[in-house]
Amino acid sequence: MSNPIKVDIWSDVQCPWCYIGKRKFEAAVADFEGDVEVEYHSFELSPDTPVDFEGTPIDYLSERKGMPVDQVEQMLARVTGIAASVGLAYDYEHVHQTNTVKAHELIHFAKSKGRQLDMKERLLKAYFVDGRHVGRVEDLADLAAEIGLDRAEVVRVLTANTYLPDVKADVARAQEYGIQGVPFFVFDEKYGVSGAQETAAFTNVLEQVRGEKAPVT
Amino acid sequence: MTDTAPAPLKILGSLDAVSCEGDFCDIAAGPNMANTSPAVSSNDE
Repeated sequence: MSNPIKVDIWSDVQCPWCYIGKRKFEAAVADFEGDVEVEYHSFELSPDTPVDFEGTPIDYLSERKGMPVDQVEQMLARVTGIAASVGLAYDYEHVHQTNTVKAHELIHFAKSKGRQLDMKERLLKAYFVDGRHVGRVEDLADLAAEIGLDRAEVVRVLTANTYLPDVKADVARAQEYGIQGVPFFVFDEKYGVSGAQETAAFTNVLEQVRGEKAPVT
Repeated sequence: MTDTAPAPLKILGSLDAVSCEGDFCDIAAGPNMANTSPAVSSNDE
């Protein structure tokens, strides 16, 4: 790969707009005539959430924000509809609200094995589509094994918090950038794009960055 | 990435795209952005 555009993406596993934004960004990359290197980084939206939170995302959001349940339901219905427009079948009735720090550690472990992108996709699908739990070590090990990673090794590194410093480093870098919401895309450590933009917006940014990288003649 | 503080970013694209902040996802803005063309706003100017 020659002089690729590096895109660093801050994201959380339980952020619905991150998965939608991922699809829209991927569509831009698919049509882009140039090399793009993607690396995901950790962002914890609710680090104080218990791993075994008792309740649904509706309970969680209504309790945390004091919003009426019917308003939360409307919001989730809306995001579910938008997800469907990019081919994602969100199933909020079976989502397990949880703490995602171990999922982030797993993503870092997968990166060490050259499988970060596969692990990120598997975790998002597990949470939003498959109704799987993405907070517990044993469940995460199952998901890791599904993409071919060593289950026993995953249990070991997650239990030992081996990749927790990497998660914290990502969170710290997000703070240094001033990132307050996700998804957040950083192109060549120079340009920032916030939120689940439309594919055309990502395309425009990629083309702009490519133009600036082109050698001066 | 390095251990040094990063240079400030130029923010491209519309700023009203949907995102998640804190422990909550801000979906009030909606997906239909009025301006999706890159326009440098500035946090480094």
